[in-house]
Order: sequence, then structure tokens, then C-alpha cells
Amino acid sequence: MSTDNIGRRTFLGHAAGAVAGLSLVPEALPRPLRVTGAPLPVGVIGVGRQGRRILTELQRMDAVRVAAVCDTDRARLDAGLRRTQGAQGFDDHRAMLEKGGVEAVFVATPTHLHREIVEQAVEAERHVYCEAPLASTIEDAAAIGRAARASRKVFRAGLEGRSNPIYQLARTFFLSDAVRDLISMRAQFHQKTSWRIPVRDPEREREFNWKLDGGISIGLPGEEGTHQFDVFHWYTGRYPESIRGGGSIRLWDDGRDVFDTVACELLWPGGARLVYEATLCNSFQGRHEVLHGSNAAIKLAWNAGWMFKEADAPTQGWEVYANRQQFHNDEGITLIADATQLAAQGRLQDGVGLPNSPLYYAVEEFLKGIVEGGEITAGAGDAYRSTVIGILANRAAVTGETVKVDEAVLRG
Amino acid sequence: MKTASGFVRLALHAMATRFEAVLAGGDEALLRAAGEEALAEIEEQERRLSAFRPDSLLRRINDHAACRSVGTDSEMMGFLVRCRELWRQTGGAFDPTVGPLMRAHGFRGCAPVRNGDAEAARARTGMHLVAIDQARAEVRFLVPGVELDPGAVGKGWAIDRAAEVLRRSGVECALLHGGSSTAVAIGAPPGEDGWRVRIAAGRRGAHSDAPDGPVVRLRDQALSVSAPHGRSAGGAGHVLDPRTGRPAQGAAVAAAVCDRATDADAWSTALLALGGPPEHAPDGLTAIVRTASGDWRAAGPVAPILDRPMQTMSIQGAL
Repeated sequence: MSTDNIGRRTFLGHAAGAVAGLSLVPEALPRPLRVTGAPLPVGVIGVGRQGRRILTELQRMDAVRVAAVCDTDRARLDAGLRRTQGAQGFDDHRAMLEKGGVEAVFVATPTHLHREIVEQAVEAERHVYCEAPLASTIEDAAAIGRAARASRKVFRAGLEGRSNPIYQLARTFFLSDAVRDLISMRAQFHQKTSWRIPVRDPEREREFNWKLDGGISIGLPGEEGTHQFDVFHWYTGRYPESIRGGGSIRLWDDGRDVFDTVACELLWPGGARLVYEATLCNSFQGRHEVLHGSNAAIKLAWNAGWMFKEADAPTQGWEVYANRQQFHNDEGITLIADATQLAAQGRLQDGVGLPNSPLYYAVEEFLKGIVEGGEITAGAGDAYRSTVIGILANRAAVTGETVKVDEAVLRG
Repeated sequence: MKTASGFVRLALHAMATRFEAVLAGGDEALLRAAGEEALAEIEEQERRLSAFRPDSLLRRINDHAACRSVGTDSEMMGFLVRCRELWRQTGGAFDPTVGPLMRAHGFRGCAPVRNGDAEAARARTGMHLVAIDQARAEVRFLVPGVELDPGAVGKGWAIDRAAEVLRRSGVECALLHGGSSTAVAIGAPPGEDGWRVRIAAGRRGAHSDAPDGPVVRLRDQALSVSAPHGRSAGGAGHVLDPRTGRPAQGAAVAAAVCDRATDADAWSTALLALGGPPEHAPDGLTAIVRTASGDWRAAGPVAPILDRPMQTMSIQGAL
């Protein structure tokens, strides 16, 4: 089902007869990727931390074989190769596309380098998984979108919310009457880290610490916010009309010119606001998103999710058996994927939290798209639009000015 | 930011304990970045090696290797091969297949089992039951019920990987430890000839008049300390002797100094089971044991040992 234009009330209209069904039968965990024939040979381009995490997840999938790894840094390339079973190593992605024997590639390089690699991978007729944000400029993001649309192969962006089973489950509640009218939204990214990469060679400082360079980086709103903004776009089917924000360097005063702490306010059509806060200076409550409705609030924290019902909200029968967690004065119903099956086995508590990382589900969905023709939930269009919002949010934070979101730009 | 003493200090909670990196050198921002990269590596190693996480690579081996050969990556192969070598060196006193025994004794959320079932668990213990095909990078268990449990060596392995990150980043002076029980020292603090670490004498109150343990000086070496008085189940300590299937006895505290934290971690656990320094220790191992009677004994190169306890400390095979 395309989520680009659907509105909540339209969905309610179509699903009116099924609302009770939605609340009684939570989504099941996705069926694992089937092994059919020889493993699919894939390559990973860019094996910094995220690339190596992708390699570890791929190692858990029998239907896939990592045939090649690419990085321009020798130490990183060696670290990446250790996370494979004898893959070939390349320091140039073009050589890998030509000689690596891969049918699909994962692009996990710095954001501003995605465009060239994606375009060449598409030209080489490879399936492409491109980490999000797609690019650091709207122009580059649009070019990636065009390449993806022109490709006859599978393209998936590295947006991990849409394939997350808990987020999918929570969305069914959001779209039903359980949450009802959207009042406001909130999200945060909190992690105490300098974002700096240790670099011994001063000549390579800019290459490795691109995130700290205001001329290249799209900062916290772009690099982290894009993923979180996409969740709200997906849930509401809408995009903000305007964004305002600000930021500063609160802790890491080490010569960088990218804010380590930002706050943005994104205004949705109809008046709902998303208040977004991100900092590299404190880890309290990590990364999460909240949607406040007139009947309930939903809190999503990537490996877990909860619904907090208002006292006057109608009660559904299944809630009697629901797993709950107490947060100070609020009691949340734990959103558990596969709850029905687990409850039947008396193992509902076992299901709290995801058994796999959100990255795993995103990677698996991409591979299912290739091997089984499965649906891709984070395509180029959605990723382009969320990337644009991330870029504009950073612009708002950096300039301190209100940025209007041009619908024509969102259409691409 | 630097502490008052001029060190950069970072910490992380992982593997149910607290890891800390203390670094010294010129560029504070570079040290901080290197420390973060090192701690991120520890987090990644937990994701890979945890026997408790359903999505770890180790769990995948445990879940499937009894039914078929399980492919894994070069780094995991390196971990398993090193574990096998340490199992051989310690004569089985360290054994990463101790999972069934841990369950049998109630350390995995299960109730302790009867003696007969504990014997059955011991029959499923032993690295000789794990077939490692390095050429194909595959692992297979030779009998059902074998279970890898890296608890005795996982911290050390993670610290070694993190130390590699620090060295690659150009760090020349650092102390990295996990839970104050396993540490690796890179270089020495400014003006010193090594990092000085005191080995605790044992559980407070057990020997209330016992003096502190020896101080060791570490420079580009690792230290691990084990004691049976941590977690317990059914009144028994959490360190089991894989050779007998019973809780390790005979030593109150055991410490090992080696070139690598992985080795030190494994040997400190093995020394508890052995009850004292081994008869034939590998080169480079300094074994330090406090016996049940309170005496300290050491064997191997004793250069790392600085201050010895007030009681007589006997040395075996001192250079």
C-alpha cells in the first residue's frame, strides 16, 4: 500500500469494518529470508562502523554471501574483510562493480559520496541499498532518486523505521481509532559522543571527519533526523510546511563548525507540530519518537514501543492480556510483534523488544525484494523526501531562520 | 575533557559491566575520538559474542551447529581458534563450551538440576566436541546440546579488539579495563614505567584481616583477575571447573598477566579451577594465586609484580 498520500481519515474510511480486527491481531514478525539456490553475492562499499554492522547482519543470513568489500582506507578495509568469509577487498568501488562478482551492493560511505557510487552501481545494473540520508544536497538526492527510478533493479534506502516490526504494529494502532486525533509529535536523538573519528594523517582529516565540517555535513538534523522524520512522514502521510530551529556547540568545542546540540520545530499542515531535539552531549533517553493523540500516545524507541492510553479512551478486549511497563506516573502497553503467537504459547514476556536489530529487518527486506520479489517499504521517493526535510531542518538550525518546505521540491 | 590529572577518561556499560578507557597523550580531541572508537568496538563485540542476545553471531552458532556446519566470518574463526588453543594450554581448566554446565548449575535462569543431569551436561562439554574448519570458516558441534559460552573470555577478547583500535589510532599510553577485572595497558603513564594495578585480596569479610594483594606493573600487557565469590546459584560460585563439572575450589583469587587480555581472561578462570599456578605454564604467563588458606603464590616471569603482600609470597620458577 502506498503511503505517500494516504490520510488517516481516508484509511479509517476504508478500514472501518476492520478496526476491531487490527487491535486484536497484532502484526507477526516477518518470515525469514528463504534460501533458494546459491547464495546471492553482495558487496559493501564503505566499511566504517555502519558498513561493518551491515556485514555482521549479512553474516547471519544463509541466503547471502559477501563477495566483496570496498573502502579507500586500508585499515578499515582490513577490519571489514575480517567480518567476511574470504571476500575480495577493493579500494575503488568501480573496480568492485567490475570485478567483485556482486549482484547487489550496500552503499555505506559518507553521505556526500553516495551519489556517484549509486549512479554507477545502477548503471552497472546492480541492486542498490543506499544508506540514509541519501545525500547532503537536494540536487544529489534528486539525482539518486532519478537513478533509482530508471533502474530495473531493486533500490532500497537505509531508512530502518518502515521495516521495523514494532513500528509497523504501532502504525496500525495510529491509523485506527486507538490514538484518534493527532495533537502533537516529539522526537529526540541523544547520544554522548564527539562524532569525531581518530585520524593520524592531517591530510585525511576532512575526509574522515566530514560530519564535523559545516561545508559538507548536514549535521544532526540531516544525519540522524532524516531517519526519525521519515517515521512521522510514513505515519501521517504528510510532510511539514515549514521548519524553524537553532543550535549551538555546548560541549565539543574542538574547532568544529557543526552544532553538537540542535532543536527544530516542524510545522505540519493542520497545525500539529513536531518538536525535535538532538544532542551529542547527553545520552538520557536515547533516540525515540512520540505521537500524542487525543485517545493515546505512542512512543517508539527502535527496539521497543509502547502505547499510553488516556483514562477516557475506549478499552479493547485484548488489552486485558497486554504486557505493560510503568514509567513513573504513566503505564504503557508494550507493543510486541508476534504477540498473538507468543501469548498462545504463554511467552508474551519473551517478545518484549525486537529479537533482531532494526538494521537487520531493513537489510532483510532489501534482500527479499531481490530474491523473492518482496515489497520495498523505503523506496527512493520516500527516501528523497525525508532527505530533503533533513537537509532543510539543518538549514533552519544553522541559519536560525524559518525555512518553507516547497511542495514542488518535495515532488522532485 | 581531561581530568585534573591530565588523562582523558571515557566509560561505557556493556556485557553487564562497566568498561573504562583512560588515555594520555597530546591531542585531547584525538584521544577522545580514539577512546570512543575503542568503546564502540566493545559494543560491537558484545553484539557478536553475547550468549544472551538472540541476534548474536555466537547464538547463531549455538542454535544451528549441532544440525549443520555454520559459516562464520574470519574474526569469529579467530576467536574460536584462540579459545581452542587456550583450552589445550590450560588442560581443559578453561573451556568455552561450559554453557550446559552453567545451565545445570542454575546460572542461566534455569533451576539447578540433579547430579545425573549435571553429568549429562558434562558429557556435552569440551572443545573436542567443536569441529572448526578454518579453510571453509565453518563450525559444527559433534553432538547435540553443545553450547558455546564466552563468559570467561569475552571481556578479554573485546578489550583486545578495542586496544587494537587504540593502537591503530596512534594512542601510545592507555589503560582499558572491563569491570575492574580485566585490563590491558598500552605504554606507561607519563613519568612512570608502567600502569600499577593492585590485585584485590578477595571478598570483604571472608578474610577480614587479610592484607591487600600484590601490585603489578603493566606495560603493553594485560591482567585479568577472577574469584569464585561473584555470582552464585544454590550457594555455589559461578566459576565451574569444566573438567569435573563442579564449582572451582582451592583458590580464593587468581590473576594472570599475559600479552593479550583474551589469554589473561582465560587463564585467570583456569587458575581458579587449577587451584594454583600450573606446572607447565606457557611462556609469558605470570600466574598469581591466593590459596584458600590465604597464601599468595606466583609462577612465571615475576617482573610485573611490584609490591608483594606482607605475608610471604612464594614464587615458582622465578627468573
